Amino acid sequence: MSIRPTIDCVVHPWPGASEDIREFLPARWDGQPIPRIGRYFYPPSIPEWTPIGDDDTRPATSSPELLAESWDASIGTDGAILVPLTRGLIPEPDLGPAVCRATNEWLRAKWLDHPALRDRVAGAVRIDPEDAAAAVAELDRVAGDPRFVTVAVPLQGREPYGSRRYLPVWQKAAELGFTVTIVADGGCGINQFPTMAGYCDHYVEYNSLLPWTAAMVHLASFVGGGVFESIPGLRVVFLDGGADVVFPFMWRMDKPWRGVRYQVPWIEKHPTEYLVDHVRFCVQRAEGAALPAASLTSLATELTVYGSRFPHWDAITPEEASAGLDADAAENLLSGAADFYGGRFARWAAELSARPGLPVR
Amino acid sequence: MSAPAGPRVEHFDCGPLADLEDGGMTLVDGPDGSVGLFRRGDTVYALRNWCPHNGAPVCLGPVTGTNVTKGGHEVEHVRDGEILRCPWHKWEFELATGMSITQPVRKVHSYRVVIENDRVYLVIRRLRKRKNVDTTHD
Amino acid sequence: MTSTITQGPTEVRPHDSTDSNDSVPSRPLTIDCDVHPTPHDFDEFLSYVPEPWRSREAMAYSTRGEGTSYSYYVPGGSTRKEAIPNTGGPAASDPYLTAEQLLEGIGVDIAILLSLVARPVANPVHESALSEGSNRWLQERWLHGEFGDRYRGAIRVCADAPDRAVAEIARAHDASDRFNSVLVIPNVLRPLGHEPYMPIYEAAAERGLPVVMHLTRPAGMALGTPVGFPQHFVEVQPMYALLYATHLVSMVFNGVFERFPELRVVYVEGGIAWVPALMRRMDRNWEGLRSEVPWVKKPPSEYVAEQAFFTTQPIEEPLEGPAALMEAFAGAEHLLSRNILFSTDYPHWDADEPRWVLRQFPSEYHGAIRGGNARALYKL
Repeated sequence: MSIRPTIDCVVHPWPGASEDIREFLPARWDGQPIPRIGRYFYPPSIPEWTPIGDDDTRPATSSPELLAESWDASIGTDGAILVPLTRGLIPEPDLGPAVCRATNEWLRAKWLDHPALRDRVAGAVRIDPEDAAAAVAELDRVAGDPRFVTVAVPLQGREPYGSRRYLPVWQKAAELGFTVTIVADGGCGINQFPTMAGYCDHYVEYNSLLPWTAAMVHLASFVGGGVFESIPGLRVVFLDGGADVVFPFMWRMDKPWRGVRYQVPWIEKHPTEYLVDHVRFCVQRAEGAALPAASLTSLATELTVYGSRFPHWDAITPEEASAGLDADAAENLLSGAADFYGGRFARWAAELSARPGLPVR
Repeated sequence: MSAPAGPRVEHFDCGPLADLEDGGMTLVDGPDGSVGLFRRGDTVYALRNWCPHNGAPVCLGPVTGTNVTKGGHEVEHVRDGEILRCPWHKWEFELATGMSITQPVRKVHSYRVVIENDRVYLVIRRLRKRKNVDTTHD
Repeated sequence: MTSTITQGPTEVRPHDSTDSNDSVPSRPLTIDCDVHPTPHDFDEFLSYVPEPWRSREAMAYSTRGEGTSYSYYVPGGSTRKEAIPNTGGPAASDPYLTAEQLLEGIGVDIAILLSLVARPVANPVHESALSEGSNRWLQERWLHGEFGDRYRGAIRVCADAPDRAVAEIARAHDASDRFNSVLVIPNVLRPLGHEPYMPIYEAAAERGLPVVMHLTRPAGMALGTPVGFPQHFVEVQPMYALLYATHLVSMVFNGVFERFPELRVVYVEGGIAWVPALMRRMDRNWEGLRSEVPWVKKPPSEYVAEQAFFTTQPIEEPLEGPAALMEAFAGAEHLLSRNILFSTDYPHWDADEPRWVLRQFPSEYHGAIRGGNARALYKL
């Protein structure tokens, strides 16, 4: 019986310097500043990103060599998806897509091809859904490169992602075999208020709210806009979590749906019935996944995939993520992502070599 | 000697057809509780005034059409006059059958109606009571 | 925590009571923590609003309509049809019909009245005036009208005018002790743990009045999410939970609960099943980030268990059945015995009744959820 490779669905590569992507930006943008990659609001009281070391506070993935050297200690899986951050919502037309394209080229040139990493990493294509035409064009542009296996869009969007103007983006992604992943992004351009009631005061509030509240709004919108009906092949993964609240939240959408159905007749079934075929969440330390006594419900566990979010301060290791799970469930969590992602991800995963003997608890 | 088994059919008299407003809804006290009679010309639909969801007085809700889509966002209004919407959580039921139009199907109890001599009757099927049944066991 | 469960007021008459002097009702007490009476017409309410706002509202009325404009309308209407009296007013505007349906029909012993007459407006002084008008109206027409002994009410205040809010709490509570809580409309532009709101909590806690949050969907005001505006009502109703989670997180991490240990906060109509998950999430984040909020002295989940309360309506009805709801409470069952409060949300379209709500819970929690928890909280 062959062992499936374990896969980390989200590792964030960092540039050594924020301006590193500049070399991949066309000359049109010479002399025009772009936001830095670090997130601006709510600096935490601890390092937000695990640093290289005491003498170098840059994030631990600030070069491919660093990631390769620390792989066994920091990542530990057979393979990983590199999801680079972009620079927040950028109001100037063309610049947002340009930053995404430059980020993709940087990833390709510096990371996906690196001899120490190329046999175990694949990349997420960054696109700017605010410009649907440009996003579609970017997907077409990179479609021939099998090392790009997923698509990543910012969690902090400008509108909920089920809104109609985003449909061409999701359609193209599904057509090309990309699962859409939604990731809490870096940078600072313009933004909606980060909470449902304006600006909170502290990072701990922000981190306790933004990842899942934003995810739930997008999810409600995907269902509310009939996106999973229009694009039956679309699959979405929320890389910053939400499995712990998805059923409590979506039960509240199930309940009114049967009655107000005629306002949204493109929703053909209970909202929760779309989840298993279309939505997954990366497990998070904050969701108690590491605590056997307070782990996710059985319904929620079915919707999880493993991703560390390394080098984020609350990255979750494979051991923490699978603590308390029986062997089958642990194997499914760490190695089963390809079953859901399908398409390009599955083809890449099939080529990954599993290293027997990697402890999976 | 025990009476024959099998359902017993009775007709529950709801009164003259002429008393029912054509196109409207009239509540009567049926054999198992309140029943809504919906007269549409010479046809009468009879639904138990009790929603299978949470027991609402479903017959008080509006009778309307509904909206469907043929995929995408193109919406068509259909089935005017055929859909009873519960006044509480607004679930949609077919007036003629009491069945919800969404899955899983839940049903408002609907009675067969017989109109004889211009009077409206509900057809009630009851299990016959069995008399003189020996209830001791060996 | 010592709980003082006092005897109920002598005017409460459970349905089956005989002339026994036994203080325990002959059937379990049902306390409804979310009911919305409305005035017969806008003029009835306006007569209680101080000037110059009364005239301003009357003038706007002719073009704007009744001060109840809102967004994300409920398709098909937001009230139960049978709650509309044939006296010409809107649902729950007739005390007799309301008593018949709510107190008799549904079997509520005591109802907490939350007046949402007049949607919030942007000017805090204007909003304070409308709030005062709402409180005066509620007091005269409902708390001290027919059946008044069966009702308690929340003192509505404007969070963004804390000084006026504090004054209004004093005025209203001194005027009637049937005001038993403070209503803060949570559609604001800073989460409610923010420093400027503190005097409101201080005043409420001093008087032993729980703070009640009940949202609304006011036209154009604070309807956004972290990712913009949703499109349909069916997306928005689940988001009440997100709004309350935001305020709960803010109150925990800004130390509101630590600072006012007697303060109790009730989150109304936001659901309950998300609470245990959020408690875990806050605890885990606090473990790693304590240095940012040193005034938070104990795990967030302890503050929630001690000081936060949540009403049941609209009760979650998982397709998988009540066991799925109970699984969401695994490890947090203590909330069911203390923090979960039954509510109808009468006269709204998705109002709940006790028999259906209690089906979602094991019978050992029925007495507490139906009325025991509210009785302890509101000292009824």
